[in-house]
Amino acid sequence: MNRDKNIKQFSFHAIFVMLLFLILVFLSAMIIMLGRNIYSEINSDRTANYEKRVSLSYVTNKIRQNDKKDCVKIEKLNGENAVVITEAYEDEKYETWIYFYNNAVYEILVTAGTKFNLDDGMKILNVNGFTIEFLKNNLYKFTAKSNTESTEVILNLNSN
Amino acid sequence: MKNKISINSEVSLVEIIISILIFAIAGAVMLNCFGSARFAQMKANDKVEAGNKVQSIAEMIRSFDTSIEADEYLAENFRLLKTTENEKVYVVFYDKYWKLCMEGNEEINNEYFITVKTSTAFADSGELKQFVITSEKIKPYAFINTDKETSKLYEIETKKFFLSYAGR
Repeated sequence: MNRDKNIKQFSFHAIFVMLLFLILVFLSAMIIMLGRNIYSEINSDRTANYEKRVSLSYVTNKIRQNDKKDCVKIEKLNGENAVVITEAYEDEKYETWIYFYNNAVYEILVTAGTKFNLDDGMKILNVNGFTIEFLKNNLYKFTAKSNTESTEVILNLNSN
Repeated sequence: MKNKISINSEVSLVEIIISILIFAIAGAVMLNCFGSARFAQMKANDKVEAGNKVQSIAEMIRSFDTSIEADEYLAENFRLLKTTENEKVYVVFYDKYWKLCMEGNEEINNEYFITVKTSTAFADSGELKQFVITSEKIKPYAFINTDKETSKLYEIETKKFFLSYAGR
């Protein structure tokens, strides 16, 4: 009788301890999964944020640096709008083309009027989309897309 | 034999309970860290978006030749919130995806808002107008900024001189 009681007590203790241990393992796994999900979300957000922010600020800063009369133009390249910045070095005119091609923003510096292939340029940043829209006199809208999110900035050219 | 079994079970139970307590404390700290990191990243994303929106509004205002054009732009695209003798405050609401809230729907889906405060600093041969453009989140971020009523994301203070004869 006494032995039966002890066996029952032991079983209850063992099951209770095992149950607590299982809860501990389950909660640990939950915390790890939660941490993993949050980390991957933060990482994907950070990448998208970086792509949108850097592509837009790169182009806007380039334009602001060269915002002189007749130096900044928007021209068609391969059916898409591209930024063309004209500079003169030692009486020779050079053009910096910034354009979207093959899911990336590219830049190339050529002597004015030189034809070039789109993949000749230097890749600045991978983005899913980059568009330049003319709004009205001197006002342009730049839109950068990363994954499904897009952000835009409007820029006013002082010089033209 | 009987006593040995009993002692081992009790020790295991105490050990497990202590482990769970330690785990609960560590888990609470970790959850707080995860939450802070997630909301800090959300705030960083919002700051970029808010910065772009605020800068775009500033660039739009900068592109106008006369203060009347600027006022018309603000009246068309924003809701007049407050007006005093020298100052006007306009507001526009955005939803959680930073899409413009449609008129009449602002109170339901709004998550962010941008205010444009305009005031005339000087008026003689033209008008020197001051614009303060501020972007804020209506509800503060959880885990961070819990002590504040709203969360300010981005602010630009700028002035533009509009000539009387509408030159630039």
